[in-house]
Amino acid sequence: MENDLEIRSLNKSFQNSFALKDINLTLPRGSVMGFIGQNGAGKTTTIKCILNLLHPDSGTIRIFGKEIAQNEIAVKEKIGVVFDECPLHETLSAEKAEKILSKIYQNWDSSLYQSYLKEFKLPPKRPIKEYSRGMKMKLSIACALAHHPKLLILDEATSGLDPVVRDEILEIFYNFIQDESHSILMSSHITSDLEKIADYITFIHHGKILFSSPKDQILDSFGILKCGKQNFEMLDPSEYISYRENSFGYEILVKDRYLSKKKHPDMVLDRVNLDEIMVFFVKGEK
Amino acid sequence: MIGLISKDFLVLQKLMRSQIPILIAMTILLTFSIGNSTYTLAVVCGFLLFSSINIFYYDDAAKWDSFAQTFPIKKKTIVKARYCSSLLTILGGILVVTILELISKIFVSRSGNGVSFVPILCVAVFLVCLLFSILFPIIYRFGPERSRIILTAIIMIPVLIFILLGKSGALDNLFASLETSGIESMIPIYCYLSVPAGIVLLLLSCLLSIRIYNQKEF
Repeated sequence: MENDLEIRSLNKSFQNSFALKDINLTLPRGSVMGFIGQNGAGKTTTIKCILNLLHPDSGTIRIFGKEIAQNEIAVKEKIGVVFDECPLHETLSAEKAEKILSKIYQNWDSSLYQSYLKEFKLPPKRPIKEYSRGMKMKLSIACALAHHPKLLILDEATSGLDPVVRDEILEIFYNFIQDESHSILMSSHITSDLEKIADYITFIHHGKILFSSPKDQILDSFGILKCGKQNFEMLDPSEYISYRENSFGYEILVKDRYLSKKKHPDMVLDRVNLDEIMVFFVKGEK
Repeated sequence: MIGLISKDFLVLQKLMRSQIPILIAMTILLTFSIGNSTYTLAVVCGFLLFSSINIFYYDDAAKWDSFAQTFPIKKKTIVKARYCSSLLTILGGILVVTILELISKIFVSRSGNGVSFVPILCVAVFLVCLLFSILFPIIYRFGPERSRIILTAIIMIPVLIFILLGKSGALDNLFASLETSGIESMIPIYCYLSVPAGIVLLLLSCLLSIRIYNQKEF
């Protein structure tokens, strides 16, 4: 299987403190990678390094098998990027945005752009400042898709949107990924969105990748063990990732719930979602 | 590059739409009340500076630069486009002022010892180029918000020095010689060379800005 994005041993520091440490990430062609982590964990820094907005201290970034630093123009022609805010000037309109972008991208497809504007119900002549946040994000997506990109990089593209608009936007990404030559790297706080669309999940914390695995494998293997103090004290710390104490007892995040179930058949073992995994990794004790 | 230049003008379009009628009204008033369109140059120069520097603020507010880094274009193209659009703005200014001068020549009778239009225009173009050459690398280096104070100082310090020198009487001799010999004789031939000199300055400034921009992170 070919990879659309490969990051190897990426390091980036700001004023002598590490922002990213030994980042390794692989996005296979035709898949969606959800990139999760709390604020300041390094998601945007990683994306900025991928796009060459930040200069990495060391490491390699390959997109479509080519190093981005040496093949920036050819690679960027095939990438669509959506940031958390619409980067088009508020006084411009969707029509004027096209006038600009059509002269920048060789593969700009005017009819495709128009069809997106129609599909997203975006008035082409209305100034962007009169658009709602959802409309602005849809315009950003239309701009990112109208030059037939192979890889879509989304940095918190669904944040701050209501569930209906988020669902519409996820539908767009879902349609995009139907072409098996397309891939998506999607950073988001909203893990429920990623649970719907992602094939892989990468979790970054304090600039380090804690895990990067297929989503189904993560949701299937991780689990939460619930027990009292006595049972908890009997557990070997190597059995679990972290624990949280509450008024009812202990909740313990385990990496292999099947193994844990075998070892502790009398304990309650629940399935876990991405939100809970994040919270346990960030706030849990070890 | 054409896309980026057109972006600058599309962004400025709204500002121009509201400002240009005022500018034209002011310049017409100045031209016909004083009988000389060279005074309008100061107004047009101010407008050119204002609009070209405003683009940086608009881009900053929209976070355009980060977005532009995702385009399939080189970083130096982004800088070159900004210089080209500024140069085009200057050309537009020259065109407006020249048209007004030609119109005023038809309708307003001139006194014999009036200042020649072309040398003054050349000097004005040079001054705008000089200011752009200094201001742009500073904005690229520090960003529009942080460079606001530096920009104000760069524009205001020479003005303050001139006012202080005038008040102290240091410029009396200069004004006296201007009155006796007429401003015409004070304009040397190299006034005309100030336009190519301004363009050379802009080119050097562009090279410096490209260097700064290439090292910049977004």
